[in-house]
Amino acid sequence: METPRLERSWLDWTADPSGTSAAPHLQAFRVLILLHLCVQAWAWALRPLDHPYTFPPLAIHGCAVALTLAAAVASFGSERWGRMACLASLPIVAFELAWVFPATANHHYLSLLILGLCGLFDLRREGEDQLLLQGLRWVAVIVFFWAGAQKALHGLYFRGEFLSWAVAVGGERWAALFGWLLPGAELTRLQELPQNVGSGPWRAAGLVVPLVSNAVWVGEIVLAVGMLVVRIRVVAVLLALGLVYAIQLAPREFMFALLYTNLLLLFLPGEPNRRLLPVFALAYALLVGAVAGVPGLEGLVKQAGL
Amino acid sequence: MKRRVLKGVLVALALWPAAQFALTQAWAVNPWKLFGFAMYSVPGPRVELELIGVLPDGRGMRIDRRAYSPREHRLASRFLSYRSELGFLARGDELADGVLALRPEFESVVVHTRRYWIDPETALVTSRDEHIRHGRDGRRTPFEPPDG
Repeated sequence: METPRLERSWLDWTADPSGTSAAPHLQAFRVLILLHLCVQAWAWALRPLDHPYTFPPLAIHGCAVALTLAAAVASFGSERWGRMACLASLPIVAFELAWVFPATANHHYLSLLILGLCGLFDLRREGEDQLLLQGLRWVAVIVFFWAGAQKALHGLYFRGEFLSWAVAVGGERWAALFGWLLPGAELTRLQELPQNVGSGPWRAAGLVVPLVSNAVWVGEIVLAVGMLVVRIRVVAVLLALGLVYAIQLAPREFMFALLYTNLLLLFLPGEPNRRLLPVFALAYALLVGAVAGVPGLEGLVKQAGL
Repeated sequence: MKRRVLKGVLVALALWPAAQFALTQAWAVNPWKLFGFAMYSVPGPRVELELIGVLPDGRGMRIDRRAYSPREHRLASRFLSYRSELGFLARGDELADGVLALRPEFESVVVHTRRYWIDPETALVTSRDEHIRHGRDGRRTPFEPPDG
């Protein structure tokens, strides 16, 4: 008798070899996504965007309330209601993203995509939890791979041009955190450069800046591929988390960092998304506080908000 | 079925950044936007805008930004934002129509934008200019400034 050949598709490269149920993990993930979207909507309601992206106040407050309800339903309701909350949130989030187009941030598109996937799969059905887990892990891999590949394609990382520019004129936070990479005289030279046509070169002398700069894009690509290899997956994910937060320390794009952390944690054993739910909730609460102008928290967000 | 949908979504997600990169190269679309994951690949976009009203005798008059009406300010800010994000795919028709509606002395208006970036070859700041003349009949024609 012929043994049936097991079909192994590329989708399974992110599968969990243990094959244990991922449903509790994914339920927590879903709550976090809705919490993320609810915080984003409240941020837009509390600190209106500049023209031409200013939401009508009633519309954005309505979105924020609806997404808060959806997050509450996903947190305390049954599995069925959690999925329904994702599906019901889709048009609200799509409206928000369309309103801010073309200034829509990448993490907004990403959260809409993830929300759609969470609404597509029913975790009560056999195998759908694994399928959703594999899909979300692939999303994490693709995002990290392209983040590195795009830096190489645009060509401002090979000799540290972007990093030189960012440290010199990208704002106080860049200079404070990464200024030590440049020799003092070189930092002064770059800071004094005009920004008109022909000014430059925006390249710092020495080896440190090019080394760090190249390590970033190479690291992103290598770690993305590493996430597909079961044996080194955990190490790759931990290093990727370190890289994300190292990059985000200066620009403070914590909304992206939290969303991406939620994705990366799906690779780790022990259901960290569920265990860390209170930590995420606290982080999101701090971000809302920062946007609302709570003294002492302003430094957590960019001047423009989330 | 859901497996196929998932595969399709992932393939699209994996291919789209290549298309977004092509858009950034061809039309100066902001690499940070449009779901291409090119954040922190290049400095954020810097775009400057200049409006030149053209009189019936062909003479051009630069319209001072301080003299913009509130409506012109709103239209200019909207256009600048769109031009920053969508590059040369964003058209200045709405802005030009608004200016011509408010300024009957001009027979057409030239929308001049300059987009700056750092050239990866030289690491020097470089720019790309676009001058488009918008007529009252809605026609758009490239405009060659007198000084080249």
